[in-house]
Amino acid sequence: MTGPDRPDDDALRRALADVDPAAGLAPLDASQLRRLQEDAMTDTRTPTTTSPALPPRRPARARSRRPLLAAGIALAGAAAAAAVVVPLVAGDDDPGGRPEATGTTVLEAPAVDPALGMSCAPVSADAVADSQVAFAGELAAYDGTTAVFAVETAFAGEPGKRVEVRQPAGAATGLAELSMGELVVGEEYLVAATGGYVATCGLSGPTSPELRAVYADAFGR
Amino acid sequence: MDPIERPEARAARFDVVVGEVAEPVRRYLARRTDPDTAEDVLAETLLVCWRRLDDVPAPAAPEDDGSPVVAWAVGVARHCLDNATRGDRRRWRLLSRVRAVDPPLGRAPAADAAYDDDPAARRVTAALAILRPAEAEVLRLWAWDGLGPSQVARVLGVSPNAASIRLHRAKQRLREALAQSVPDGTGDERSDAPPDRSRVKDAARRQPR
Repeated sequence: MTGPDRPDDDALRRALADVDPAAGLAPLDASQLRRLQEDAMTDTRTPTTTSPALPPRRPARARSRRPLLAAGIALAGAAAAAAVVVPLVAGDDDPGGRPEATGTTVLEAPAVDPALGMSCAPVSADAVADSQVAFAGELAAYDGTTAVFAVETAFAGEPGKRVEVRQPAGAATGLAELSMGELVVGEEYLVAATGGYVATCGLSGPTSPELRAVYADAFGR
Repeated sequence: MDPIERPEARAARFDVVVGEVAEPVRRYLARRTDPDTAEDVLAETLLVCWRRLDDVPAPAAPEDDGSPVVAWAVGVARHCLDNATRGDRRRWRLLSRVRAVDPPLGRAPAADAAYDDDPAARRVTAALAILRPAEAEVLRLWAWDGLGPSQVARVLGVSPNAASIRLHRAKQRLREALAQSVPDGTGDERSDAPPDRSRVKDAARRQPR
């Protein structure tokens, strides 16, 4: 895209290098390196970032959708561009089409790509603040492939009263394995989604004081 | 990788990885957090490298774009640091309920304070501070951590093309910010008159990602 650095890039890089806070840092000596290496090889802790999941802020996958025929589709602003459908009525020849009841938002859990399983996105307010839909709700039903939430509090977007989160077609793992945590009917969950896909990897899951604090930080309530 | 790799061979492989990544990762962390956190996160990053040794990219011939092995490890360090910082921020939120002060976000060192007697350096830090955090971070990865677009992409988890575009735009923005901060012929580069102090203050509050 940009090709080789331009000559004035060198000047820019030098200017930045002049304010490098680590410029005066003495390098590690061999014994320090050896100690670091041995500590890692003998450490029995569980690293905080090794669980397989999506990388941070992975853009939602583009997917095609058939034109939706629905009276009273009430989507506004940015939410209209998302694949969040309220309500959704699929065309007759849509093999995946499942007519929805009015007031239901349909989301999909993203398929886990093992090749991308380097580390979890950090669970932070920044990571959920841009979500097009976010809500707190009780898990009303779960059959292993579809989780139905009764929305109690909407933080972002217009999820309606009911939200269905579906396992992607052909996925080998259930929703619970898609980093949403254990799905227990009757429990309250915090769920965020963008582009029709649920934010997983700890960003959506059972309500806990920690996750609630993240949502409060992200949405101001 | 060989599923029945002997422990000695695995240890030897890790020895090579540590030799390549320990110092760059240490510097990456030193630029972005306090010494104690940097030490902890370096140890955790190397632990992840050891546990996930089979996922470490194969060493490649040195190139201008930087080492894929280093970029991979820096990406791990970035996540580890975010996790560590998240805990700090949570503790700070509790504290902030009783103390109404600005958040000490601690990720970016207060570098500008170290350049009181260096107007040129102060101008660069001020210009860097008014960029959006994501823009400033790609510039740091490029200029401080020595990573080209492909390796910046590996660190940030975006496509090389996206990283290249971000880097190109960030350079442009920095040039513009520097141009705006040039005093008009007085030679007096005052620290109290960068382009937009409200943006500087706002940017300083935010953390690089």
